[in-house]
Amino acid sequence: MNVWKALFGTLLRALLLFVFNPLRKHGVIDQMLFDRLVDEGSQQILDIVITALVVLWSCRQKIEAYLIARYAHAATPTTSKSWIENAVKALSEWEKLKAALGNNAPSTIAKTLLVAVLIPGVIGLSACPSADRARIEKGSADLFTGLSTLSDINQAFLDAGEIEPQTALDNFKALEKIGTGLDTVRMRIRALGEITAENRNLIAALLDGVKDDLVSLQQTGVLGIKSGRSKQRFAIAITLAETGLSTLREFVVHVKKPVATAHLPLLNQDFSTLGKAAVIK
Amino acid sequence: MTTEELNLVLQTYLAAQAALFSILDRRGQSLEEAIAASDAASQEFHAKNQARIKALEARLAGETKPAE
Repeated sequence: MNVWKALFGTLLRALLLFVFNPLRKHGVIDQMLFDRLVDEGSQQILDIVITALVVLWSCRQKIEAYLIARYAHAATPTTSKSWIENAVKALSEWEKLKAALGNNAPSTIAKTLLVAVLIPGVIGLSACPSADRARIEKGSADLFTGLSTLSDINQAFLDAGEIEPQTALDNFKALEKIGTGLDTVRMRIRALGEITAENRNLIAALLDGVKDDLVSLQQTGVLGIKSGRSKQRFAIAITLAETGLSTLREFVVHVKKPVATAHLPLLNQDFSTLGKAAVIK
Repeated sequence: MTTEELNLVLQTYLAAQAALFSILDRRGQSLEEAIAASDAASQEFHAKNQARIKALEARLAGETKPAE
């Protein structure tokens, strides 16, 4: 397996090099991002593909075994085992799947995939309390990364002439307002001392405020992007940020055991000055 | 697809990829590290966004000035 993994990894790396090297040469991406895209990118794709192959192979074996057992039940007593096995093996992969799952195969597969996606999320949300505060902080960091991405996209639209400069300015200001709102939420959460079943709704309300700002950014037509496709791309980015906020909110409202925040080393920092000092000119 | 559109798609993709790397980097962090990352992400966002606001305000102010 390791040999195949190494071989596949090399091929994948060569493919990524082929795709991204021209971009690096033309200065579209810098050397650091190029290295990450090729090294980490190929490793991530490889891990996902190998895991998917193992799961698919295991599912295939189980489906075949299930069909052999089912055919054997339906067969006459004189039918040999090898005849049944050959009959099952002669079916195409899709026919095997349909025979195993019945007429609603696509719907069953979709539901299974949905459950497969939901289970890690549910397990993650029910993690031990010591990890809870870290989860909120990571969620906040992810949201800022999302806002930063929205700012980058807005700048790209401005550079491409997709939006008017005044509209772009309004968008940047709206994003700044959302970022400041998120800062307030983070500080309120840290200042609470601990998250308990009593104050969790207060935090949820604060998160709702940030989400409302995000939704209004889209609904009030502030974005002012000319083409439908670009508008759609921006809308997707906003939806992702909204999803992040909703996940964070879901986590907070389900906190049961008190989660201490008093020991946090950065609790007393004056966050209102953060960012201002780093502004260029 | 025009060059401008291609450029826009590429920039959007790169921004999303950078965001993904940033999120992946936060896996397995301790609480203190997560707080520091949260503050750093906030600081980085505000610094970048505010710089863009200032630049754009200056540009718009320049465009509205009467020609001398």
